[in-house]
Amino acid sequence: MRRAGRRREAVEGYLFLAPALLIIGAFHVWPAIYVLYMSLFRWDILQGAFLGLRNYERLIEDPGFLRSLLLTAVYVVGTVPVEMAIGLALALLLHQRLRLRGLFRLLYFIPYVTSQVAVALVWSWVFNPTYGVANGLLGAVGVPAQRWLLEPNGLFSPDAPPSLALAAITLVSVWYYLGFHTVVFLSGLTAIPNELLEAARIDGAAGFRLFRHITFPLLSPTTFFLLLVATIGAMTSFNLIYVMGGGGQAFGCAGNPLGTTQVAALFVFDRFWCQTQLGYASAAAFVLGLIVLAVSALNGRLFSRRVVYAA
Amino acid sequence: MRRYTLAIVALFVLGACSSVGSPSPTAQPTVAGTPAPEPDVTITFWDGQSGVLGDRLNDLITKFNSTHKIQVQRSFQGTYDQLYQKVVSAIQAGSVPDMAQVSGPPQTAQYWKANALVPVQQFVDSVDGFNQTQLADFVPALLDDNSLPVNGKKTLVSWPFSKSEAIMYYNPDILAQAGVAVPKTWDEFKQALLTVKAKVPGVTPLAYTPDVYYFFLPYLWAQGGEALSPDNMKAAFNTPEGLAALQYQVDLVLGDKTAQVTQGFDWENTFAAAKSAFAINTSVSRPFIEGAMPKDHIFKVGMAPLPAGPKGAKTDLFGNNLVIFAKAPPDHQRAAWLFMKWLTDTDQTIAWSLQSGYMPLRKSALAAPDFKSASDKDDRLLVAINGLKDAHGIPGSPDWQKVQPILGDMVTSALLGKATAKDALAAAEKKVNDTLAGF
Repeated sequence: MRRAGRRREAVEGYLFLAPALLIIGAFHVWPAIYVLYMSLFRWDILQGAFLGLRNYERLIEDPGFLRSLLLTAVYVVGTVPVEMAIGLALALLLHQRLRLRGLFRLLYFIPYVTSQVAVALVWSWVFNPTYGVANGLLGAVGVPAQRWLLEPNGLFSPDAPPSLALAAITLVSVWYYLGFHTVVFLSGLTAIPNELLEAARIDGAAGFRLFRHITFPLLSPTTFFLLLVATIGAMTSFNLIYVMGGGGQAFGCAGNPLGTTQVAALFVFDRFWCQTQLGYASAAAFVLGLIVLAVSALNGRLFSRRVVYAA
Repeated sequence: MRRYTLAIVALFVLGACSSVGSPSPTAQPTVAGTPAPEPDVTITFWDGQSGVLGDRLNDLITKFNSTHKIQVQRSFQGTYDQLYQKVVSAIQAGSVPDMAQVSGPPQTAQYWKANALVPVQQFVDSVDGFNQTQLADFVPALLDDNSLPVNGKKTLVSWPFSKSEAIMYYNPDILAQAGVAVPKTWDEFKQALLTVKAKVPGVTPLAYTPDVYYFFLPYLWAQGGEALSPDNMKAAFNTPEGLAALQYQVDLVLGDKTAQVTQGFDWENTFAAAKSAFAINTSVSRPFIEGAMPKDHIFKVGMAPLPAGPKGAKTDLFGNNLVIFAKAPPDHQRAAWLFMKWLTDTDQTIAWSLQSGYMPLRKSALAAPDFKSASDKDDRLLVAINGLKDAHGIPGSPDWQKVQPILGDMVTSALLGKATAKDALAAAEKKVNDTLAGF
């Protein structure tokens, strides 16, 4: 009787899981398996000869792919820590009893609920070298006009990433995701039990010490979550970079100028859609997926032990 | 299952970042000289004509649908890039429309290589098609643009529709102010830019978005050079002619500083605001330039053929053609052909040309009263048509899609001074040869 009840419970459980499993299976797992299959062939518009691992061998030697991985790393380092640090600072500020606190929360969150393509188009105008506001502001303080999204030269050295184009996109990405980080950190701050903070204050902790020893450790589940989500998001980032990086223009397809904004996701898109090398692009997509998995696992290994839960 | 999987994979790649039938003759067999009755079917047509051009195409389709048993269901697919991506996905999934617009010979060659098309030639040769006299009414360069070698014989694989070519735009007021005549050669063009720079302060002689099509290729061809070898298997541009073509642009941008590099379509706004004297773009840009003009400063847009080099004036043939898919049922294929044929009748090609700015496709259109009276009033309508004799098709290689960005990067790196013209050419040649050699 008890066993039958358990079985029924298990069946119900699987039934509840079924819709999600079906969707994840059909739209994530099965395509990923098929991408792996495609990556083993020469595949233009149609499936061609079986190549085994030759697409992967070619990837290792392809300076374009290696550069796209480097650019992805630069983009992740340029966005994730900055978004998180500023997001945390803003969350701490908005956690105070400020007037119009709700309004500020709303203002910071607005970019995140705006279409990325619309945001990218507006910022493309801001950085337009001929008509853009950015050059107008630079001109007002006597700084020469820049080519911004058309500039492949590096910010720090002519041939080293990030190019000014990628730096400008990184800036927009930080602006876009800041509200999300702020709101999630705010919810984390709200979840910290007041008694712990009170007790620390009674023991003489205040200001930065209170933050360092009580608030920040107790925020660690939130920090860990944001780190994981933001890293995965930045590693697979596409929309902003595609639109701002000259996708759809006459030159190349994705990741201009001179490929200096062609991060890994754009490399995949470029080889798949613009150069119709479906097998080769699939190999790149599969490798990118493995790297994202590895980085996520590394994140978990490094940080999950340091996560402190209040309860 | 596999088809759906491929469709999902395509969707998956697009979001993150089966063979088809062979092109064997599948047209409705007909008794010679006796066309079969028009099939009572609805055909699907994918295109990429946006805005006003889309509205005008709708008008033509409405007219066709109201006078024929065949019903055409138009489906706008977005930009030409998006249209291409969707057609590639559709071929993968084995779920193609009956007919579609296609962006020039390289894409047609790709679809053909994938056995996705039925050659238009079989309909042209059928009782529904044309005799030699009727076919001779079409501008030969446009038929060439739609032909590929099949079993050693030049065969019409696609059919012309919205065709344009690269031309030169100029602001007559600025040229008059500078005392400059419309340049007829590339040397005169260079000199004209210098004169405008010297004599008309505040005006950029030329604003342009660097592109392989508007300077490099026409200049190369005008010197007698080619981008690829005759069999499209090797780069052919790293030659003295290629060097001259690339150096010419470098001289304008970095040497003479008479050309301003713009982003996307910004050159159009600069030209429309009378802030630049010249522009080089496709012959269908005029309505867009006129639309961007400030209402208090309207001027007559000057249009002229591209300047000439030692081998004459050369220009790229742009625009779109139409294809019929091999997977479509035979009666749909025939219906698609009948629609295409109607769409390029003299009446329709005139209407489409006058409304869109694309060229009329038939010689008879030039003498037809509607077009004649329009071109008598405005001879700019004839600039592109007269330039057709100098048109040079984009290489009909299925790998051109891979070659084009390499040439684009070559131009960009030279214009930014990151490489000399000579080094940029050599680097691009190696990349193109590696790409064409496959792996």
